[in-house]
Amino acid sequence: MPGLWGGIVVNVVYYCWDGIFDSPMAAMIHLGYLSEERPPKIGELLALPNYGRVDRAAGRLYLAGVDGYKNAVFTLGCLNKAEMIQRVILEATRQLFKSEAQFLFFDCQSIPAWRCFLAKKLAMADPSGLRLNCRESIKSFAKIAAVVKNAKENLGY
Amino acid sequence: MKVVYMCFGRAHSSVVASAIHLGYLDPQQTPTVPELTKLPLFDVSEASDLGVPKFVGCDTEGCEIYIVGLDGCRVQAQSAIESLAAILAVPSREFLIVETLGAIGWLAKFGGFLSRQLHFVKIGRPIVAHGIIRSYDLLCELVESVKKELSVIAAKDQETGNPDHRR
Repeated sequence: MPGLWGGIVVNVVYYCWDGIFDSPMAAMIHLGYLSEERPPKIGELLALPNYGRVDRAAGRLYLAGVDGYKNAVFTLGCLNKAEMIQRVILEATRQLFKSEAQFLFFDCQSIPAWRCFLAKKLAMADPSGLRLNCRESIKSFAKIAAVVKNAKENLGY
Repeated sequence: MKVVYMCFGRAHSSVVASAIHLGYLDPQQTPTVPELTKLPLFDVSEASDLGVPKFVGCDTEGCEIYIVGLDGCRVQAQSAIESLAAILAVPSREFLIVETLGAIGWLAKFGGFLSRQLHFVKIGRPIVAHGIIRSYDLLCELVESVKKELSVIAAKDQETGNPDHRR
């Protein structure tokens, strides 16, 4: 069964608790919108199209872009059910949709779940609530960059 | 067309709903406890089966019927399947996800918990069977509504000339 984007090799999925902070940052590092070498500035984070999007639903795969090797990069929020959501995606691909599509999942959860929850609730009231997690995202840059580096090694870059 | 009946553990309500859909159980006649427990997939699933869609047969119209247990993340898992379908270019009219847990009452849920979670099968299985019998009419109504929806989709596809509505 063909995908939406012809020639996609692997679907790379970065997942975190809510899919709003850590996984978009990882996806943007992967796609080259953020540097792999230095932590981003707050302005850079807030300018990203998918960082801090409080309207995003947990469980849904969101396309962040396609990298230079024609691998699609997705972000995903799993709450505390990462194993189950991954299994559903992999099994539904094979058993339900009879597809050979490849998915690789990378856990980039860095900010504690309670903090993500709080920032999301605050941001829903006022967008400045996102700033609660911007500094945490910047602090966790090294960890997330390491996840992306590992992902690229897995993909053979 | 694919229909996925989903519940908590893929052991009871989705199994019975699929059995009604496929004609293994008569919607006009409430089954007995032995009739339910004789269903091959009734009250037998394990934790490793969660999240794995199981094909159980094709109905008279050629629709593929699946059952799946999604534990406590049915909303998120449903979102995952729907977004996955978009990624794989599967049109949304080609599959239907049906939640069956809402059609059963507390007795069936309690029996299911005893049997599947606590492994008190001898106590839990008859309780869940009685619970299903109490909720049988609701399950039949649910399946009937699914069949109506399928016929509406088929009629629309015939109008628009889409030949793949039974794929």
